[in-house]
Amino acid sequence: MDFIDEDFIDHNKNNKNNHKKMEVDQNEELPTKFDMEMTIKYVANHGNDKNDFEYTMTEFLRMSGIYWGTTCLDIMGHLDKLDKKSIIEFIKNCQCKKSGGIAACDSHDPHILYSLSAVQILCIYDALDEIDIPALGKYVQSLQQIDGSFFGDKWGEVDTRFSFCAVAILALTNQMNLIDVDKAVEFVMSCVNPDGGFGSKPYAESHAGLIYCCVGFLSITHNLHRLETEKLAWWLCERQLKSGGLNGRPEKLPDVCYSWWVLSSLTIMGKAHWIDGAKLKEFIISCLDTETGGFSDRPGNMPDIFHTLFGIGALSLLGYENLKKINPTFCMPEEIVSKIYQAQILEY
Amino acid sequence: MSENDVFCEKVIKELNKVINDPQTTVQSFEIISVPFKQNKSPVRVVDNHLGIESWCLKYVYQYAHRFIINQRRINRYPSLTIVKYLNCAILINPDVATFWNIRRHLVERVQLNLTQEFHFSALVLSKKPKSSEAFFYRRWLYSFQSGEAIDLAVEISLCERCAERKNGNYHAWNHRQWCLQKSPNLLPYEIIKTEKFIRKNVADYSAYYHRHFVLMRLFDLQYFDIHDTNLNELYQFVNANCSLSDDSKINNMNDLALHLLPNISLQSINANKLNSFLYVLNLIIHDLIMMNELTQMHGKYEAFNCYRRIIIKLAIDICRLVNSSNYLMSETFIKNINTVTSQNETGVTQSQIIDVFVKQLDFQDGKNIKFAELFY
Repeated sequence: MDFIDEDFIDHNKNNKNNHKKMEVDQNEELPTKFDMEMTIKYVANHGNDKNDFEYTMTEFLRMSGIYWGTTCLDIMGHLDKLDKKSIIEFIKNCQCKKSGGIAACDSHDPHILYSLSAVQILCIYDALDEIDIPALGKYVQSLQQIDGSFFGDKWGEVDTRFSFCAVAILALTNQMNLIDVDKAVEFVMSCVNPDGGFGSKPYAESHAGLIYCCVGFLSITHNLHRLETEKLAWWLCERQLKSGGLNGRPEKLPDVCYSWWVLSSLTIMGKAHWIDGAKLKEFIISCLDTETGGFSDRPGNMPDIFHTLFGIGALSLLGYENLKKINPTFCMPEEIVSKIYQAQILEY
Repeated sequence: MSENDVFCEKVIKELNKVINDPQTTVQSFEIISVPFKQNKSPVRVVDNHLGIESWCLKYVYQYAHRFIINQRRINRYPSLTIVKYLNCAILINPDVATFWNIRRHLVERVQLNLTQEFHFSALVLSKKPKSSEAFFYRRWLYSFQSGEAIDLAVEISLCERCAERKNGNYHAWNHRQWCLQKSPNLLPYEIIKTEKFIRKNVADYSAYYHRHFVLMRLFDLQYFDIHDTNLNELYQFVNANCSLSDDSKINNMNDLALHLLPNISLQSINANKLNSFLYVLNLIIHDLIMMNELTQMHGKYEAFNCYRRIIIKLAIDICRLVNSSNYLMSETFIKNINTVTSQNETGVTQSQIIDVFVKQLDFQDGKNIKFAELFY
């Protein structure tokens, strides 16, 4: 589950009209309907121009890009638009023979973020046996620290995102016994803040993307009882702004990707009804770029594949017609996850 | 070599020369928006500022990128000659972890020196003040520095500059927390610094959150300022809110302590802990007043309410701790007030000050919301 939002990765945020809009301008005509055919085309053709400057600039997260694309298409029922064989070949080339970890792209360094993306894609294609799963398990195991936290790679940065990636990889590959789960839980719980939220490490400010990682982590490890759900859900609800869109922290602008991070967290805690779903749906659709079929962070901005997945994912959680059901913990089609692993979800 | 390659080599060489020129020591890097090719070099230097024209980015970046990746295919750990390509590629695209990792290999083999690397990563932050990779790299570089060589006050200034340039800069504030965990002696300076920052950037909630972190750490470390024992704001708050009759107004520390700690015998307590408790509580009251001031000046901001809420919660937590347990009797430090109180037993002794704070917590924006129930 690569990364989170503009705090971690710069997406192409240029406003198409070269001016930044803060909130939805009521007078301007924004899309109110979502044409799935266009979006399918947008995702399927994404990255076709391999000589493109943008393509080179985003090479370092290619694996996640493919995960966003495959998941998105599968949710829309059109996974067949991508070439399964070449994608699996690509993933095989990205597994590091020495460490077992997986890189975003051939010749880049392995990292736990891209290892998870690779595993997610392989699950969607039912092709886990194409890579060396025990070696990947050892890689994840090698990244756990004495305090239960996880490094993202051998260079030693600690982040709650990596805790989520670790347990998600191990759950999907049935190797959870490789790590000390209790200690991992203790570390994640040491990151809880007085407002009920979680940050990237102990004391770090609460952040909706990282809350998703921690709630998802507790869902996978069946420890949701450790959460103060009312307090956390309240904080998450306060992310909804007048436009119906959600932001990731107080005083920030709404962004389509938070539709996913916030709504999935609330869904896992059985509290999705605490926010106004109809208004959120309106906001997400207003971020559709009618020229290309992709979604952007905010109305009128350039679309990208990352926001397209999280827009579609949130619409699926909201029960949008003709979309497959998405699993809130793994951000993958429910029909695929249900065959592999049962994460904990609290009752509505 | 094609014409394009010759051009890219030239630009990369020029960039490298400027970056390593001891005479100029460039302080900042910027991309200058020039949509079309001009008849001169796209690299520009004005005083200590380095710029590159935007039209050439795609050629130069693609070239540097390809060069580095090709080198890596030949040798996983390329030699020092790769650095100029890395400089160029990272300045344009600081998110590529693999490029930073190649530098790490070179640092480990003492082929790149730390001072230069600190300088380079600061240059990257001048262009992208929220670059998580650059901050992470700096933390990693510090692991090679010996104790005396580490001056984290400099690092905090860098965080401050990055936070000024990009509101809600998550990584800059995280990095600042890291500095303060390494050098807790810098915590007291944060009181003035963060107030200044907040008054200048009222909508930057990350700064408020950081200030809350500072207050919490000061309490955990039993800090108080021996030169500033002024608790006026706390006296006023207690006298105004605890409905005391005129002749029982509190005006000395003994009475204040008796009022705030009705169940504690003041004879056998740890004076440091008491002083720190009063000091931090006074700061919290100071900040509550500041929030009212800011609301009057700037109108309503989400940040004011969010901050009010977490510092009132902190006030309740520390009041409960000092009132309920034998906290004040012992010398021992607590690890983190946040975790202590959440694990605390429920049957705590109430004191009037706690009720006052609970009321303040519930009453927000003229509305009565049961936050205290949510919080406890």
